[in-house]
Amino acid sequence: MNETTSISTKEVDTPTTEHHAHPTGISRWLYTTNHKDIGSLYLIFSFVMLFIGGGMAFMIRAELFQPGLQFIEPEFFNQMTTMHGLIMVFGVVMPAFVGLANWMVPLMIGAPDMALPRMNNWSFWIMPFAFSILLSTLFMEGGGPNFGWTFYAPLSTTYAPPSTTFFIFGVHLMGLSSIMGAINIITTILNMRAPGMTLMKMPMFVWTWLITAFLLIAVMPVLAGAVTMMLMDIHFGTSFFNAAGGGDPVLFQHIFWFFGHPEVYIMILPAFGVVSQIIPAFARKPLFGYKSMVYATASIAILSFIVWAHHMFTVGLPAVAELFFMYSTMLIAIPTGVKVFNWVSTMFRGSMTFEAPMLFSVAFVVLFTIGGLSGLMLSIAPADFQYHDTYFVVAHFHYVLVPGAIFGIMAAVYYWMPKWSGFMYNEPLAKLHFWLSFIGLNLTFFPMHFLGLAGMPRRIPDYALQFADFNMITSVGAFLFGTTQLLFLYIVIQCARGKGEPAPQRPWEGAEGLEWSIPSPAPLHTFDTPPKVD
Amino acid sequence: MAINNLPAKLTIATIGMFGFGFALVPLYDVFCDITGINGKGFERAPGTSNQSGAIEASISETQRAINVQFIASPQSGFSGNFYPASTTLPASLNRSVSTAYFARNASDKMIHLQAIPSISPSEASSYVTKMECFCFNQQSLSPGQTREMGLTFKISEDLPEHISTITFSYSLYPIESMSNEETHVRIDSTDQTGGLSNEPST
Ligand code: HEM
Ligand SMILES: [Cu+2]
Repeated sequence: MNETTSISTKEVDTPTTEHHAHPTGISRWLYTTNHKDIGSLYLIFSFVMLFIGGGMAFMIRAELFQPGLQFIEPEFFNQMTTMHGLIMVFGVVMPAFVGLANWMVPLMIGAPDMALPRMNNWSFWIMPFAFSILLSTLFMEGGGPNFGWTFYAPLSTTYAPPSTTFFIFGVHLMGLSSIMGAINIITTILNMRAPGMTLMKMPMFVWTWLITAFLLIAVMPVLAGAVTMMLMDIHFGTSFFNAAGGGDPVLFQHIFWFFGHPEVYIMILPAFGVVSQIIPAFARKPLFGYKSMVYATASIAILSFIVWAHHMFTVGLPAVAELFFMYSTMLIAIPTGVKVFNWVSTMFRGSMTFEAPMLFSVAFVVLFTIGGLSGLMLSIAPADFQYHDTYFVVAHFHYVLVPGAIFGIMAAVYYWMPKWSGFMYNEPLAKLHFWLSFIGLNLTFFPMHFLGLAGMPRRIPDYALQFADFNMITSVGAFLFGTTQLLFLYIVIQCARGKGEPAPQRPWEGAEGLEWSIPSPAPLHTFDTPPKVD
Repeated sequence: MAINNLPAKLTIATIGMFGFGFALVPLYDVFCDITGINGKGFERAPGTSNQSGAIEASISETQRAINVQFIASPQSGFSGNFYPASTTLPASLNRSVSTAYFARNASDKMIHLQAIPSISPSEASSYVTKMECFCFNQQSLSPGQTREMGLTFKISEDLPEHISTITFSYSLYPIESMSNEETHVRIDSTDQTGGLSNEPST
């Protein structure tokens, strides 16, 4: 394991040792094949999308602040819920983790760069195009996609706005980008580890990304297939999902969720990796149960292929199928429980300090577990008939995605930012950022459980009067959480501009791993001669 | 060595999974066929015609009477009426039963219709054999026309004991001037099981 790894690195390059002439200005970023530059581009892109997707959430919550229709038309409301979901999933969480992988995987395994640097450039630069296309649909005749981020047929085919063709093209592009990114990451991890870094010595973040990349290769093409079938149904007269022509709309849901469930693990496994790096560092103890962590991650990934129909309990599955998907879904709670147990055991009797990365990680463990528990409730098929398509589901997936995936990303940014920029971020402000986010998100998402149990349906612009109070609390929480992220932006910009203490090579006392053996900020080229790992 | 073409292997895996997504379409059909779920498991008896049969149910005395219910759901876009000749019929096992549905075109245009069948409980669907069904074909109705559309079926004596009521439900969809060749209805093609019944038409 990496904490027992002793490192002997030859003199590391200083930032001034340039190997080639580097273009400056815009062309530096356009043509870059450097994993650190591309990592930064991904992270910046994700940050921009966070505010766009957040703005849409803002409109949703403003409309739902009170019962009745006040600000936006129901038709536009539907476009907002759809776009918010698509942007947060494909534009924020996924690119942020790819950005972290770009920055950190080579540094953590002692590789000079990613295995396929030019493809790396492509996979990033496709993204802005994909999302420009997606966002431009909002201004087209008939509006943007309005059928939910799950784009169920026939809403997304027979009854879809004309802009759906552009939506499909956008999904194809971002799928292409994710697949290229995944191929790159797998190749880097399998082929470019420093001598002595065996698979079972890899840091957990690298392990979780390796497994995530395999998930991406397995399911992103299936998503591409689903949107291709939609395209053919819309334009070429096929009837994959059209009952009138002998097709089947339920087939769409099977194909979508065959992609969709592994997709939710694509969004959470790298976050598992991040907190598995951070908790040992701030508890000053090696990660408890490294091997079981690896096996638990792999079993979660494998199980994620056989549980998809837990999203479809109410479509009229036969009883055997209900039971199969119910039990297989519950099974996932076991490896997930192993992980939570290991994180808690790592903290147990550790000499802990609570700098921002640790605060976010501890909150991750607690709040993600709440999300896991509501997931377990939803996995009970007969109970799901009551919960399905209510705010309870909305509460569930926001608990696993916001304090799960998003907190994982924020923890990672605070943890590794000193290495990226060479400066410490403003710790008191970061703590404030944490507490405001923590309060904001619980205010936003906890009442949604009650709303859902009381029967408030999801994806509606107006609601019955008895839901008014909790909706108001939720909206207040959302405004708090949203505006708090401006503070995050400020902290990150300050740190990137060098306003702060210069960061030492290893700013965290308990941190282990190759990434701390190079200077801060990390020079453009690192590990040109591979380090030796014993 | 193998390790050098890892990106190539991963690309092949990607293409393979793209193909797998499409393979799910026929696989799904095969799965429904084998398990008889989704109300799609019934077969069309070989060599049967599509001509209208007698409306009246021909029933002889039974050992076990099954109550058969008929539901008609016209789908949006169809202006007209769609209803069964009778909403319930008694049926005895292993005897063929004939009845009909009626469709009326209330618009002033020629319309083409396709009915999509479903049987519940889905468990019963594999014990129902349809000799004749208007859902096997597209129906074209001229303005104002009312058509009687035949349905003949048989329920197997192997029908599980606990099933005493079977519901036939038909959803009627208007289809836009597709030619007959273009609309492959899945029930029509159970004999070529596994074939993709909805490939792009040329
Ligand atoms: C113990 C683990 C989990 C279990 C048992 C579980 C179970 C479920 C079930 C049964 C549903 C369907 C609810 C319905 O639509 O009626 C659901 C929805 C959802 N889950 Fe989970 N889940 C778990 C973990 C996660 C994780 C880790 C994520 C993502 C990071 C996640 C993301 C989602 C999303 C996004 C949806 C809603 C999709 C939609 O309809 O829009 N879940 N979960
Ligand atoms: Cu799921």
